[in-house]
Amino acid sequence: MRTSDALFRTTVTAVAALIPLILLALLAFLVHDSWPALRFNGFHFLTRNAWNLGNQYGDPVTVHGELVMPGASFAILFLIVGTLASSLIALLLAVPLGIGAAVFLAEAVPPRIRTYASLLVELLASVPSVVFGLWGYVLLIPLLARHVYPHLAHWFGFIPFFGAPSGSGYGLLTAGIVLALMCVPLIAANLREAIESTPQALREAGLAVGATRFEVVRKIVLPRLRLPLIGVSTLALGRALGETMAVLMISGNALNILPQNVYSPISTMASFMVSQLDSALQDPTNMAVHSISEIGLALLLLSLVVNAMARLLVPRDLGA
Amino acid sequence: MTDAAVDPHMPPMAAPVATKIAVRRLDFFYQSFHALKSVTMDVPERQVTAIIGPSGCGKSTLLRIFNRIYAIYPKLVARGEVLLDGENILDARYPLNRLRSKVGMVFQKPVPFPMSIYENIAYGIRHHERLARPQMDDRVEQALRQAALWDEAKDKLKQSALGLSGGQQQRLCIARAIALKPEVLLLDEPTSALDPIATGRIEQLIEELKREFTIVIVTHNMQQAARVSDKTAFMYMGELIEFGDTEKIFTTPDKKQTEDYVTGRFG
Repeated sequence: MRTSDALFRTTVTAVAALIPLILLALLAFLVHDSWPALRFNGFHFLTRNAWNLGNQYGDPVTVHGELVMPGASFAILFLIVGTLASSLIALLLAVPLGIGAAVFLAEAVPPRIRTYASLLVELLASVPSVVFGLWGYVLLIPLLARHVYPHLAHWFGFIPFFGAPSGSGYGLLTAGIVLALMCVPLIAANLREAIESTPQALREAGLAVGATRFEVVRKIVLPRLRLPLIGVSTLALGRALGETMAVLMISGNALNILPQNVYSPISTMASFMVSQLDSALQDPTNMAVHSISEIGLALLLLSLVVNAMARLLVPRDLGA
Repeated sequence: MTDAAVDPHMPPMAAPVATKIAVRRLDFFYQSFHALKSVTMDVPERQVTAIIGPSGCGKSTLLRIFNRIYAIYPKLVARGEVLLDGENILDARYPLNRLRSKVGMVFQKPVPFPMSIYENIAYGIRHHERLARPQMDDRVEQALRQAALWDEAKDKLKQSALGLSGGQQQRLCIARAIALKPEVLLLDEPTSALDPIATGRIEQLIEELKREFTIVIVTHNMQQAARVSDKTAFMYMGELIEFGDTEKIFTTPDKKQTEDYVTGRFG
């Protein structure tokens, strides 16, 4: 009995320890791989818009003790802005939609078809992102560019960042919309479970004091979702921050410019890493590849910071 | 006795005890399961009526018909009559909102709403009345005092009700129910999740509340039924076996089944 307990304890501890260790290993690898770039780029890496491989036909020069091609500079402020802005738009759209979908699934869909409807939503969550990207590229972008954005710019141009030019359809808002659609099933599936876990007695108590079903949902069920909502929003934000393929296909892949309005082309950190890897490999000094590693490091740290902030925001007094 | 209760010219104290709820040939079905079989009984006004019986005998089912809470679930059917002050509440035309304001309910587990203590009480009131802030404050205080929770809660009215202890939460649920100024209070095993001290406080409270409210309590605990109730109904397998004065039910019941149950020979 004692031995088996000890064995169990050791195994579980080892497995549990593996997870933070993997994170640490990943961090260590990224720091190691981007070390030359960290030395060469310095702090300006985060504050300027200058991604330039330099003269690939010149002779390498030494800067801050690192060998680089002449004229090379690597700075990614535009990527940070693009990543945060598209993820923020995605979350702003996805959270209300996700709550609505969850409430609809849990409260309004008849029990007979609820299982199937919920299954569909969960299936949607597992659609590969490249499929979302293709759909956005083929269908959504022409539609938005011709029939939506011009009107949006015309009628809602008074809202900051919503005025003309309404662009080509490839850009920040499109990226936000597609990212939102990818996040909605994730949010809806999680919240639906939270709604369904509301004790039946609590609902009955609400009805017993004279509330209608809708009032019970609004005042008794929804407030209980605050905690799960923050958790699942963090998860969704993580997905949006790191989403690569779909964004690559629809964002317009801006280089070294900040978006002027919501229709402007952008790039995100994750998609930029993919789109630039090929040309970076042409850099004989390898500094471009090291700088891409540094983007990866920055993205990982950004995700960690966002997660930590979300956790700090969680109110402790109103538990589930 | 039923006639006396509906006769508006008869002052309530003239009859020995007026009937508040008259149950007439009540049948209840969970789909094909016949859960209540032709139950007929008179719940007296401003007294405590206990419903006892083994698990699955239909006592909670009966209680849950009195405010029609069962109606939120599909495929449940009640037949017969339940007359509240002479009006059949099973009639679909009887307004649910009026019923819920006249008949309050307290559940087995304390289920405070995820709001502040104040809001827990104000929330229910707002479904029935529009009150200005000072009046609402008064009503909340009055309800908390009646439920013997005021002294413990008055300094943290704005705090979440989830921070209260189990016994305090249950008294809050009672306050929430009586804040609507109901005429009937349904208690569905209100102390089964509480420790003996909290249970004692609730029982004491029931004793005080019956001056103002007609109370129907479902309980598993026979000592509790004997302590708090004036009338006791013993149910078994969906039937009302015996109904009468609590003292009689627990000392000289008419039926053998009742005697077996109250003396602990089964159940």
